Amino acid sequence: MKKNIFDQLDMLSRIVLLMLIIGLFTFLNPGGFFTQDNLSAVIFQQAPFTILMSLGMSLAIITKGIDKSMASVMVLSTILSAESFKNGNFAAGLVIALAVGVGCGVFNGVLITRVGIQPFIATYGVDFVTLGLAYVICNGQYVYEFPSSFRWIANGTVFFGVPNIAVFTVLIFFVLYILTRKTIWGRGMYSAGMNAKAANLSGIRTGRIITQVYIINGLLAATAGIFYMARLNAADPGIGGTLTLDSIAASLVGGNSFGGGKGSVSNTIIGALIILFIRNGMNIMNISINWQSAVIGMIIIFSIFYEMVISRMIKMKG
Amino acid sequence: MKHVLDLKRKRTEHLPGILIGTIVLFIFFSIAETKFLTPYNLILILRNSCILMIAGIGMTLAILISQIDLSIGSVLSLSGVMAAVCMQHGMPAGIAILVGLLVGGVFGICNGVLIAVFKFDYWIVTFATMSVGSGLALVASDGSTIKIENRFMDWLGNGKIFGIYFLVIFTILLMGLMLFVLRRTKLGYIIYSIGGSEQVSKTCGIQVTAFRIIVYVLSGVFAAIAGILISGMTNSASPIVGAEYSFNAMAAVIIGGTSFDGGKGGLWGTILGTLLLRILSNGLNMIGIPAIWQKVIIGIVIVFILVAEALGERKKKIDGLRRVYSK
Repeated sequence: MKKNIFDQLDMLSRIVLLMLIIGLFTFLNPGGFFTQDNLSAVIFQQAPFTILMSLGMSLAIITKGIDKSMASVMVLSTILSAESFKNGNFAAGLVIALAVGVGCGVFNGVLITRVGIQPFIATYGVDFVTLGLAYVICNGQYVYEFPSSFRWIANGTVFFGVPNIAVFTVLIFFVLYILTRKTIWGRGMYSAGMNAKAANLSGIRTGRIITQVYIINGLLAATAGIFYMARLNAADPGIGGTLTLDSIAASLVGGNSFGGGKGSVSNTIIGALIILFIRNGMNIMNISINWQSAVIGMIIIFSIFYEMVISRMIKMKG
Repeated sequence: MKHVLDLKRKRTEHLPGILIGTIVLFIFFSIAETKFLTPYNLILILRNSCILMIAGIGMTLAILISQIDLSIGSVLSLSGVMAAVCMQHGMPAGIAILVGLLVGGVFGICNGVLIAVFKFDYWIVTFATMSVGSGLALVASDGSTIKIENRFMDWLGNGKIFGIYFLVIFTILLMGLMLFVLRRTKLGYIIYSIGGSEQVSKTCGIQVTAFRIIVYVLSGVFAAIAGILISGMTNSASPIVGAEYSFNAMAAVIIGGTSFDGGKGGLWGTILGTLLLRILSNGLNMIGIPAIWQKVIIGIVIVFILVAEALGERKKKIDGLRRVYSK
């Protein structure tokens, strides 16, 4: 019970952090930042990608792993499925994209749980290979000009003028929230992250759960890839870019501890918004884009310090 | 006495396999392509290996204490860029190089303090400093490659002593020094023992925290040396030159048999691992495989070796248990 209160306080403090950042940029640049155009552009058009990737990253981080390959899996799935989507063969495109996601997820999972390679190295290797494959398959020829019925996924609106992509993201978030917080599988996932050995001894198949987490990550990456294609109207191997860095920073600053077993998908949303608003605010302030990766790196360091302070407070009070 | 023998075995047991692998690759490419086995090409391979080897020293030290330093790639870029920026502002080469080395040292101290004193996870700390470093490199160079017009820097990368490249001689000397340090000095023994078991080392009175920081500082400084040499070699400093060095150095170290469990392996493995990687990429180039394919092939080879190494390690652990229980 006591722990619950602290969890909520932790969550509250992250929300305050988000508010502070919004407040800071509003104060620094009132006309540019806190306008309906800018906020809706960030939340409805940029946020979905970062949020989808960060959700997967948080699941991996909760199980005491990390998934460095997500951005590259996204790139590979877009490159492989682009042709089908372009020709109007949506079912085939969807199957290819999701199959790539599942395949890479299974591969990651097997490397981590069966072979026993550390998650960071395993996913780093997969990242290297998948991105290389994407460049080989694409071979310099980018696919662009998708049919407008496909682009509807991102740009159309069915729900009070909110772009579909945002609606989809919210739906995926709710599914993951229920999956992680209200099911036995979710409990298993948290205990696998907190103490894999103990979970194993109590009859939870941690290996299987962790593999499933990486499969979910692959699926999320493939979904984000489809949205990206629909949004940009092009499939290009450069789109992975800073997504890995952003999603790691987002899940950590949102309160998913790298030690595993702590955090939730709702923390991730707040973290992703923090990262997005910082990037957007810096753009609006006309700060050179070169500064951004340095700043995001510092945010990661800041958030592990923050985490340490919070967990010490819990220990002292508890 | 037995303990010393044990340590010796731990350092060298992986070497035969990797040596055979390197030789097989070498013979294969020599037969497949006549241009491979020419003095010019062999020197090219050697020169290309030098930078990765120097960067790999730091990675070897970090992995020997069963941790890692992902930031060496961006420290490599940043120190090259900082040295170039200093020279652009008219500073003499010596001071510019010192500034570059200082950058490496500062990053090392940051990594070391965050990991050893605050006990943060080394993956996430070095990942964060990696992105800070690469960001700062972009900021310092304003996102573009800086040209270096300095004869001393050029000599560092391309000069010769008695017909042998200074770069090669320097690398051999540095390797010799580090091999000596790791095998014959207290520091080396302490690094191995921290990797073997942190708990035991602490009980024996080793100041684990301090030595962890030292390892990260060394790692940063070696990355900085590599960065300065590479900018000497190309006469320019690019903010993204180091992008793949972290992964490649990690791969070279692991191919060389230094395991993530710590305390096992050593620099000879890294030397051979680097040569293997460089022979592979040069050979693939020679037999006319396009550059984009090379990345995939090298990636697959690395993943394959990672899997083999992890499976071997697990089998050894199971065998060890069996020996304990069967007695």
